[in-house]
Amino acid sequence: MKKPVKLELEPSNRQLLDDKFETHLLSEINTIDATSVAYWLIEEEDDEAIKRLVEAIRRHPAPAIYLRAIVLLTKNNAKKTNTIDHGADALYKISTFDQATADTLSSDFEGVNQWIERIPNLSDHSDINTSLKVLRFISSRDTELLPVMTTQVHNGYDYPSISAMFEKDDDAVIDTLSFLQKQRLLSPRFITKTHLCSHCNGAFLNFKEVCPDCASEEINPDELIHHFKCAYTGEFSEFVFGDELICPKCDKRLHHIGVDYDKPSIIFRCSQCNHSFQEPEINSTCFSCGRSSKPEDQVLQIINGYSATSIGHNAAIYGLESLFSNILETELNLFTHSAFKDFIKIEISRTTRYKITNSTFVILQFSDLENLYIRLGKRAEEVFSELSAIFKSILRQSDIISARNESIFFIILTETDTAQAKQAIDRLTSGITQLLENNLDYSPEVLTRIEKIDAQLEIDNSLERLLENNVH
Amino acid sequence: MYIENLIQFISNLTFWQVLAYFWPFFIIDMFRYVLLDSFLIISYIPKWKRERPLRARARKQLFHERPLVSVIVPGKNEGKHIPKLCRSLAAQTYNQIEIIVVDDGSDDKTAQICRELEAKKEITTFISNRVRGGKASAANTALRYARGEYVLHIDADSFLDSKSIETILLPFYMDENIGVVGGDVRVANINDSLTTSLQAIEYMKTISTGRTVLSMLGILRIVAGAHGMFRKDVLDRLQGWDVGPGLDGDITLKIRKLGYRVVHESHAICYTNVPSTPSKLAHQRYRWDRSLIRFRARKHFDILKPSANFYLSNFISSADNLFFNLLLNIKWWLYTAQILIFQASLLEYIFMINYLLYLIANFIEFSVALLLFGSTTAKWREKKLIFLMPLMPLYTGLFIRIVRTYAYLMEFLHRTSYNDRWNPWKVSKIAKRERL
Repeated sequence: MKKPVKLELEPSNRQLLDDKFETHLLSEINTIDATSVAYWLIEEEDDEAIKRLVEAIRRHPAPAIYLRAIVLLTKNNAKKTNTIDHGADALYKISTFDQATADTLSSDFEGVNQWIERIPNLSDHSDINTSLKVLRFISSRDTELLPVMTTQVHNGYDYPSISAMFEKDDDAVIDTLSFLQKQRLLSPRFITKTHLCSHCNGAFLNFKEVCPDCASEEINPDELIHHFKCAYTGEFSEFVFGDELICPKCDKRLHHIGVDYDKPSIIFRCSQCNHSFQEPEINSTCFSCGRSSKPEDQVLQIINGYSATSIGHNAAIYGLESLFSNILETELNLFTHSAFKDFIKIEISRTTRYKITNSTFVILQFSDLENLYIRLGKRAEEVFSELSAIFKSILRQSDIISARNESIFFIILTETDTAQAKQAIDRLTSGITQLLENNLDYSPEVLTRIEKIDAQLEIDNSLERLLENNVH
Repeated sequence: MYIENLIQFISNLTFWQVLAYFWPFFIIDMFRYVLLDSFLIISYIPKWKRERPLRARARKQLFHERPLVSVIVPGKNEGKHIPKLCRSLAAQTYNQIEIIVVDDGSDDKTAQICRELEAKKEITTFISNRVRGGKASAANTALRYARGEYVLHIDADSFLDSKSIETILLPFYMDENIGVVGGDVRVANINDSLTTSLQAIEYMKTISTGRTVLSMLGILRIVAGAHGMFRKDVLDRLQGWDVGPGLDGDITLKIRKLGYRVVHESHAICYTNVPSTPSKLAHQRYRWDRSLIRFRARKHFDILKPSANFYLSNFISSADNLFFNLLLNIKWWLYTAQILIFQASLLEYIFMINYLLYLIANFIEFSVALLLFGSTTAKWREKKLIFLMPLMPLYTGLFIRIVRTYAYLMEFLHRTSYNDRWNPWKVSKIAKRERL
């Protein structure tokens, strides 16, 4: 039976909960049997102390420690900063927190705790890869990771439940999430967007209207008045005489807007250079670095909510090493996409220059790989190793392979024409199909596209066409 | 057979018969348009040569002082023409200029086009009035923000010859009593249609030479809205333009009333787009011609009365305008009636002889225009128009005359110019009520 464990920075006797719950000092954290912890309790008044405790838990390498839920107890309704509120899984007032509540929470976090126990070799497992920690955290909660608007962090949006895992307040949180998204382990959902300083990525910008000629901020708007009768047009202030509006050209009193006069527009005048204009320029100054930038130069950042994909859930439990591309990487030499594009360029110029031989470009897509992950579970690694072996046996040392993501692969078959390429790829796909059918009774769908490498080749277009055909 | 009879008819004419049958030509038009124009134009060449050192000195002073010129361009839905105008302004030999474009409630892409030009600094200030107020208010808006010593008013669908601004400024440095200088207006879309080609001939005759003559006589009464350089202080005294249509003629008269000289400078050239179909042309002239009645005969009738502000030249200017346009227009209908009643049997001969007389007159006038100003444009651009001469007596004698008569009648009887959609209805309503 798991029990809540209270963590504190230093021993103290003020807490009335001490006698009810097992209490440990933070320094003893490695001695606690983490597998028997239902969730962590933190009861501190000081924001700084709470922060230190939460960070110590989340930055711990052991999944049984850092993945465990955190419950924050506060003395009163004192308002905590958003970041810390959300960094914990739950927040309670000490006065209302009793044994019954504690038991309810234990069962609430049962799902998270069961998830943690599915990790193989949990007790001597140690995660040093922050990406994997983030993925495991999101997968274990099985809810969407949501951003919070805050003035506490530099770029204005924080993911408090995971930000404690990161050492510094920089862009590492966003970078890690977008890396996992690119690997198709997390799927994003648009929440909002934000404009950041082009110099320091700061979200806190002071927007100002300035003169388009001299960039002075000292500009004043004035309304134009058009007097119908004499066609005089001038600024509002020219017409004001006491309580009345009187035309400076013909001395007639203005009665009703739209009947004898109009206000056709607003004009700004710069106090510095006397320039008149209707559209002031917008400039922004960053509160963090003090530098100015124009709106069109600012960095537009999309802020997403994230949830784990099927591949993501699988990789969260079995580790990133179980990913197909990772396994292929160890068996074959996988090139990055940009390097692959360079190879394509070289092949195009080489083959068109000498016109002796042909090379062929191949796209390979496993259309149902996610289902395979779910079916395979921890056996994925093993099966993928065998798949890699098939790749290795058919591709030659001189062939170049790159993974677009977990299920799409780009290959250059050098010194091979399209007919030969078709044979090779047929052997590859039938090898893969046989392996999976014989061992798993599972027939994957493998889509291929084979193209001669010449000046017309656009690999991104080819991929698009393959995906389109797939839909139809 | 007809030609033989025609020759027979002509050879049998007595002096009094010539006078009786063709008095409009021999008594009025020949004197006024052919002899007087040709004579004055011939005196123009020696004057132009005589003034060469004066112009050189004026030019030197101009480039020494380098006064700022505000080019103001009011217009509605003229966005598509603005880039070309801006290019022609950027190519000026005199470049101490600022460009102020006022969009009078356009509902097309004008604002977008002009904003881009403003961002590229090709336009100094662009003001977009979302509520349309009429051309006068747009021009006054631009004037309100003009910082120059001189203000060049130019139509948005025009563009300038590269020496135009330099040339049109020189008269101010030769006579400090000049309040406004009108520039020459030529047809830009000369090859668009027969209608535009005929207008090109007409512009050469009535503007290039016609206004030079009026200017030399000191009775020039209009500076075209398409191309006029004003002294800013004079415009400020008048506090800008009054409600149109016909605001260019109106402000010229007001400047004359202040005692300033108004001159025409034929060597400063502006090219403008003219209506390309007879029906559009008829609409344009209908609008222009009504303003004669509205402004000369009504608003500024005081010029013709002896008073403290009486200037003989102003009197002649207005009287000349009213006489030649209004009375001679009536004369034509009297003449037509006379021929139909008393000489109906001779109609075919009289018509043909009139046609030939006016054809010759047109030839002479156009040749004078080409002689004086043809060298300022591309060789064939205007010279080849001479082949269209046979159509001119019909164009001016019939088409323009009928439109003009209709315009005068409608304005006299119904004040139709106040209902013109050229102004927003709110402005027209007030103008009509106040009898402006």
